[in-house]
Amino acid sequence: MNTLKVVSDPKPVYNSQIVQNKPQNMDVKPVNPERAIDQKLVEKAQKGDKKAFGILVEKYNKKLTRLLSRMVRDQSEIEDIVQDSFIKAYRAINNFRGDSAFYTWLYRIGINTAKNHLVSLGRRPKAVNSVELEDIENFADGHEMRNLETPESTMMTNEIVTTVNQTIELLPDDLRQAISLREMDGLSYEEIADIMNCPIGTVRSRIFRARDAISDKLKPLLEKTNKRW
Amino acid sequence: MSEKISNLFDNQTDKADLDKDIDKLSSNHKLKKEWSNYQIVRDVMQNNYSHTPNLTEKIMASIDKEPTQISGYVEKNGNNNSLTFSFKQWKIAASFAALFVVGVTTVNLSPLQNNGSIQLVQEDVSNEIISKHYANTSHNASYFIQANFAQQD
Repeated sequence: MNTLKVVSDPKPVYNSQIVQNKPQNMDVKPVNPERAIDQKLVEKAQKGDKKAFGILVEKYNKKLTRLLSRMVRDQSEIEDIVQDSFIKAYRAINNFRGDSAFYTWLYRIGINTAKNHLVSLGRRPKAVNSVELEDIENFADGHEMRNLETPESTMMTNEIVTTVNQTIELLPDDLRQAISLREMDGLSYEEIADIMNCPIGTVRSRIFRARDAISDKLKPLLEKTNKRW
Repeated sequence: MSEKISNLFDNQTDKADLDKDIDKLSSNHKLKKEWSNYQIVRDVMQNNYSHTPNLTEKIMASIDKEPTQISGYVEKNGNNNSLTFSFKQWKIAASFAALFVVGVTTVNLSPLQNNGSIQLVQEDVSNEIISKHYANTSHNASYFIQANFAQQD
């Protein structure tokens, strides 16, 4: 099955040719694009802009859900804890000074909320032993969550993963290369421009067109799945 | 606009446009959906996707019931100098100014300072009446002093 192949293989075939083209001396670093924007969104929320906080909720609610699923098994309980965590984060937003990444701070709130929830129910909190909070920014959580998926959510995950991968395979070479270098190899636009030997504006355009094409294919699928949920 | 959102998603927006683009993103439902889809694409490509319900609407319904949080936080990289006061500091300064004005006004309107001297109701009071009066009156300090003045006169 196509989806299972993708899940088990961290480097799908369409990316291998790109990696070969990468200059040997290039220092490949994972990009952390979120932090600067998050800081801006936090500052806006601190000035009373609830919609800015809404973007942070949009960005991190799924990730927080996945993280907390390591501690709590019941899906409805997890949803309540995630909601409580965001409300606590909003109430304390003025205390956030940007010393750590916003999501590191948010995850701390989430974990404490989950622990308190479990203690209140007389249950022993499950330790988040394999994930150090300091390293939470690089936390890859997909596999952990897969163990908890229901048959329905597994089916939806597979549908979405298949749709994205099939759309990527059908993209023109230049778009596929650009989006792969960005998302899979974590390269900056400047590095991609060097590799693809084109202006940075072209890289921007290619990445956008690739995303737009995939997003168009996802829309009907996501509308269908949102109705089911 | 979607291309700008794609740039914003990768932190490739010019600093000058950052505020404007974030405002557009936060106020446009369609753009937020695009942003969410870009996140899904990223998760799938990083082999890190699993379908979970999107709780944004539910969470934001709760957040909307919360009082709006406004802080006196001064931006670290902004126009931060000694003349920049936070909202909280202005409130304290205004309270002190109001107290000062009330205090000065009260002192200026004091009857003792305005009149300059104590007016006697009657000057030729005999010592006998004054002695009887002391015997019956309570020990009110200001009244006593006034009566004492009267006795000396």
